Amino acid sequence: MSVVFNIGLYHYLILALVIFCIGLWGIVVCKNIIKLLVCAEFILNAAGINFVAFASYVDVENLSGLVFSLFITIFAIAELVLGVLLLISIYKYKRSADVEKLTDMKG
Amino acid sequence: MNFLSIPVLIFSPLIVALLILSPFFPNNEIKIRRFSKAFAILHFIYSTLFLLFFNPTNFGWSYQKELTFFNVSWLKTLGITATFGMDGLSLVFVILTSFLVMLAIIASKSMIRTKHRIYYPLILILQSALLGVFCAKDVFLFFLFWELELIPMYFLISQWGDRDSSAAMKYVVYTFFGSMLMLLGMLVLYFYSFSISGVLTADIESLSMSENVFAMWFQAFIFLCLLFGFAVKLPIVPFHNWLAEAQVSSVTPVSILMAGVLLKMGGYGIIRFNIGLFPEVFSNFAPLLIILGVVNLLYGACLAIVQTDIKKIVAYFSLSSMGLVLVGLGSLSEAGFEGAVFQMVSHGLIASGLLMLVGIIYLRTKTREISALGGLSQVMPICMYLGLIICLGAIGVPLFSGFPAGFMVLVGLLLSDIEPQAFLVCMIVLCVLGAVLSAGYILRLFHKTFFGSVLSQFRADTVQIDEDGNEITVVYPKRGITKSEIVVLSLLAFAIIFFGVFPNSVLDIFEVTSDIILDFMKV
Amino acid sequence: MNAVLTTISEYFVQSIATVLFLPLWVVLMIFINSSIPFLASKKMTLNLTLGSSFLGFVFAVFSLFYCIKNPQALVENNITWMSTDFQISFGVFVDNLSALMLVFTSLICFVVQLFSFGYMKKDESFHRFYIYLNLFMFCIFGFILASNVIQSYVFLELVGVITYLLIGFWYKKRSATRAARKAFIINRIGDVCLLIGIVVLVYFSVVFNSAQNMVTLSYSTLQFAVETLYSMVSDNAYLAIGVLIFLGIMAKTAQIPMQNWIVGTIEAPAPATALMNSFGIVAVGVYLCARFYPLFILSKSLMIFITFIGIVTALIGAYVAMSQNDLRKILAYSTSSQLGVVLVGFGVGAFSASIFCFVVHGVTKALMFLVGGALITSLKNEADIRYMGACREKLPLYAFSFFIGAISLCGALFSGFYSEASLFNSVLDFGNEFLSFGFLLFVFMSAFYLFRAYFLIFEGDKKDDISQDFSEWTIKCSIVLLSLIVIFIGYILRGCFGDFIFFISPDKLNYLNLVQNVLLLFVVFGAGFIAYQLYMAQNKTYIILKEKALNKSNLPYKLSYNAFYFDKVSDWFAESLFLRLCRFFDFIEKYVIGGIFVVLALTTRVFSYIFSRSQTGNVQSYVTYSLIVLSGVLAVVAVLYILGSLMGV
Repeated sequence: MSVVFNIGLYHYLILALVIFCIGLWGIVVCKNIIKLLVCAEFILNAAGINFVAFASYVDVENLSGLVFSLFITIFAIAELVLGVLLLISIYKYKRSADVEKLTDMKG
Repeated sequence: MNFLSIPVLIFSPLIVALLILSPFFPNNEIKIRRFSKAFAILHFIYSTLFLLFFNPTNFGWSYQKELTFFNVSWLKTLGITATFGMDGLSLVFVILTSFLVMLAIIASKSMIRTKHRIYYPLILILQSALLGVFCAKDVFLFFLFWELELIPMYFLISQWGDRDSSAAMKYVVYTFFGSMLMLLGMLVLYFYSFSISGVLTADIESLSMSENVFAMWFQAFIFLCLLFGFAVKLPIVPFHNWLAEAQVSSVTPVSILMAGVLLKMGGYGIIRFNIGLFPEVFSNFAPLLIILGVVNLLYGACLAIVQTDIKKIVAYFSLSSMGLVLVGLGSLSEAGFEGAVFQMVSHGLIASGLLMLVGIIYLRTKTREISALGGLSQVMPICMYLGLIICLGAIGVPLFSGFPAGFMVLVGLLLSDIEPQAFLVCMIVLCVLGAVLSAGYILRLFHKTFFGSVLSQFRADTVQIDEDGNEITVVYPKRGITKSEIVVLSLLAFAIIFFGVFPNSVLDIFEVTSDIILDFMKV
Repeated sequence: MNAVLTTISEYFVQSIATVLFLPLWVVLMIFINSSIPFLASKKMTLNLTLGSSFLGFVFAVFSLFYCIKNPQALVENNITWMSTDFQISFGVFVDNLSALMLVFTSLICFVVQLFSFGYMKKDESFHRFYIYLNLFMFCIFGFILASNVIQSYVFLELVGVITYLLIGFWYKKRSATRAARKAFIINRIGDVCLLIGIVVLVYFSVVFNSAQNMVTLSYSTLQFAVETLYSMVSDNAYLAIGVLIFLGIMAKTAQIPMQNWIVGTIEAPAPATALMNSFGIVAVGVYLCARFYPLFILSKSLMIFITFIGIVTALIGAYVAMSQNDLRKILAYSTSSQLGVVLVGFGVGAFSASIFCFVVHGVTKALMFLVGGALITSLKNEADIRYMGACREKLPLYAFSFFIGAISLCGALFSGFYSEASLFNSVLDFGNEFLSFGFLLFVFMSAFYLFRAYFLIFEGDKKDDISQDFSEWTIKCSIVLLSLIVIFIGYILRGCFGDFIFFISPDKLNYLNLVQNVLLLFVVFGAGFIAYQLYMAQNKTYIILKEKALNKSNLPYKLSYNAFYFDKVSDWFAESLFLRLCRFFDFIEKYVIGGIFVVLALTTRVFSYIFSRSQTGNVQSYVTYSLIVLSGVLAVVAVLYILGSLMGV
């Protein structure tokens, strides 16, 4: 038994919304830096999905949506690299990846 | 006269201040001091040139100059222009400012020991701001300079005076609170004048024309907003608390400028705005102002009598003198008005003299406690005689500058139209009571410091003990007072006697202006 | 000859302002002279000063001559000093009264300056003293020549300042500076009362004379001005103005209750004390009273007030002087009491007799203070008359001149006879028994304290053998000169008062009335006899009486010795009432008004603490807050949108 799904723009948007919400929820709740980074990736990728979806359903002639999603990917990579680097150095210093413990700069 | 330019007058101190601050200027205490002293003297001469070429019969703002940047006005679309003007009234205060700044800089030689490179520019910036206040012909320009004065003043009070005190903060908070209400008043005035006349303008003269169309309560609201700002500065009694503290914790030249010029900004503002823009409301509020003035006078005097810090006595003397200004302004008569302005000038000189005296004493004895002082007449006789002249001026003896002011205010009070006469007579009696009290506290100050037994630190010749307990040798100059101090004191004493003997020399300058303002009031 | 004299006198009168500015020039000269360290010459200072006062005297004599020649002629020159709603002018004004006052003032100044040279020669602040004396001359001349009320007030206060300076001359002495301050403040109280009166007068003159634009309150029009005033205001208001003006006069002439500062004048150097008590600050009061006489005479109750104050002061002053032991204090209280009598004369309407009395008192009191000062210096600064005695043998000149002064002052012989008798006559004419009796009592007490002083100082046993003749020629010279003046001036001037100095119309002085003269002489010599018995003769009953009277617990004696405790009462008022009030204000200032700022600061701090707690620094919670707020806003927008679409907008 097969059901044919006609996958349209709204499905992509809802998927992106769900991923975005997961990412937001993770940023608000998680204490671990790795989890936070992953959640940030979620949010960025939700935006990327939106771009791609709009590019392929609404504005077919233009490539700008696709180019933007490429930018987002590059941006996400850069962020991840910096984030992981920081994470490693913080971990070396603190022996923990818990953001709650990073209170050295607090006045 | 082409070489008389108001922007030059106002901004030259600022430019000189920037010059001193610039890295090219040699970082040498003596050079900085001499340079700023020379500039201040030149500036004073320049400002007196305005007086020489000032035609007292000329109506209105004799000198007027709009400052433009390559022919573009400042905020032209909003009707706000950087217009400076000078009439008789401004001129009096401009000369007073420039004179007292000159004296303050001369006095700084012995009073200021640290951070010269910042100190002198700050004084000069302050001078610019003060001159701007007295010459601004635009409401917002006035406000700009009014606020600009706060910045140098905050640092001058906090950095060179008593470091632990919160006085500078208090000063800024009080003034700022007042000036915010003032700004509110100004904005409301500006927008409503626009809504009625359809012309965006912030010129003081043009605003004053449109006052009759507002409802009375509305005018009263703006009036009170403005008055509040000036009341903090003048100060009027419930808002005076900053004065004594700021005076006590600031260093002598700064307190000279504070008592000599800053308080006058309040009086000037009341004349320009409250009288000039709202003559009708002012005449309704006049009895209240007279009462406030008398309260100022007596309250200040009563407080001065019991103070043990000699600088506080002088501070409350200032408070008390400013009461007389309010009474004179409230009387709404020519004599009262001129008396009030004269009192401001005279108080500027006398209070500066007293503060200088206190500063000289403090520098040598390291104490301002009245019970710890005494016998200074034997160490510094010259200082005593100059001090005597200043004290007699403060008491209001005739032929010293305090008397014509007081006398005009009293007669002016009786000549005013306020009913009933019994009220005026009561107020006169109370004012005069203040005069008796002033004799009491000024003589107390004078006697307790100069007479009586000689202090122990003077008996031990030139050896003193500093804060760490080490004996240091302090060599006092001949006759116990330095040349720069003698210059300051004697210039002040001379001015006090000169204006007492020839009061018309001041009165003539702003006579026409006061006529204009009062005529406006009678219409 | 006569014509030449007239021309010269006119010239002098026209340029009388020179008199005013000469002392100022001399001040400058002395200042320069004394500032040159090695060339400072005391002789030069003296000569300059004497020159200025002598020239003043010459000018005054010629002015007097001019006034005699041209009766009713006034010389008035004015320049504008200050102009606002009204014009205030400074000027000179010469009429009979001012010419006469000028003559005596310059004369006494001259004598005192001569005396001072000997007296102050060894003092380090010699030049300063002469500077003060010249400043004093400037002020007093300016006062006498004042052309209007305001100018009078200006110079009146300046005389107060100079008095302050002179009393506090030896400023290293604490008592001197205290006395100076006290004198200044009490005089200030009087001055400001006077000032209120003057301000009211100026007001009326501005309101009623605005069209004529003349000199405000000129003395030439004062009569007219006060009559206008009298018709304009109610009786009570007029009385109030009069009393306020008179309060100023009371302070200057040391009347009850403002009399105590006069004792402070003894702290000044003796010549200055003599000057202040004769033609100095007290003369200012009397002269002002004469000038304001048109105002006073219009109100009956005011005249009664003046009389009352005068007689009470006369009696209290004399009573206090009876028990004092310090010679200078006796003389100072005597000044207060004698001036009281002068005011009584004004009060009963005897204008010319009062002025006569005042002039004679002035020269006599100057003589006595000078003699007293010289004497005290001779006795190595012993001022207590109980420790003096038998000075007549060593210092005959002093004894002789003191005796002349005493006799004249109590009205028995010489000048005092004429003045006191004419005043007594006017008092009797006034017809009030109490007043007449009070006057006699005053004469009795005055005679008693003067004779007491004379006997204790110059007669009797020698109690102290340290007396030495301290007399420069200038001292002797001036004392002799002054004694001669005291002897003859009354005789010379007896016709002048009434004919020349009068109020509105001449009134002949009546000093020769056998019954009255005998009565006065009887009282004076009765008092002298009692004083002799008490202090000289060794009569047992009198000694017992004296011991009883001088008992420390005897109330009348205590009252007299402590000057009725006026000092204590006024101190109590100042200390306990007024200062407490001020301290209360200070408390309010510190803790109520100052507290507001503290409370504001505290409130801010509390709130900032509370709010800063919410700033945890945890980004996650910030995000949560903003999410909550955002979703709230979105919900509101959505609800509004739905509602709007339902309503069909």
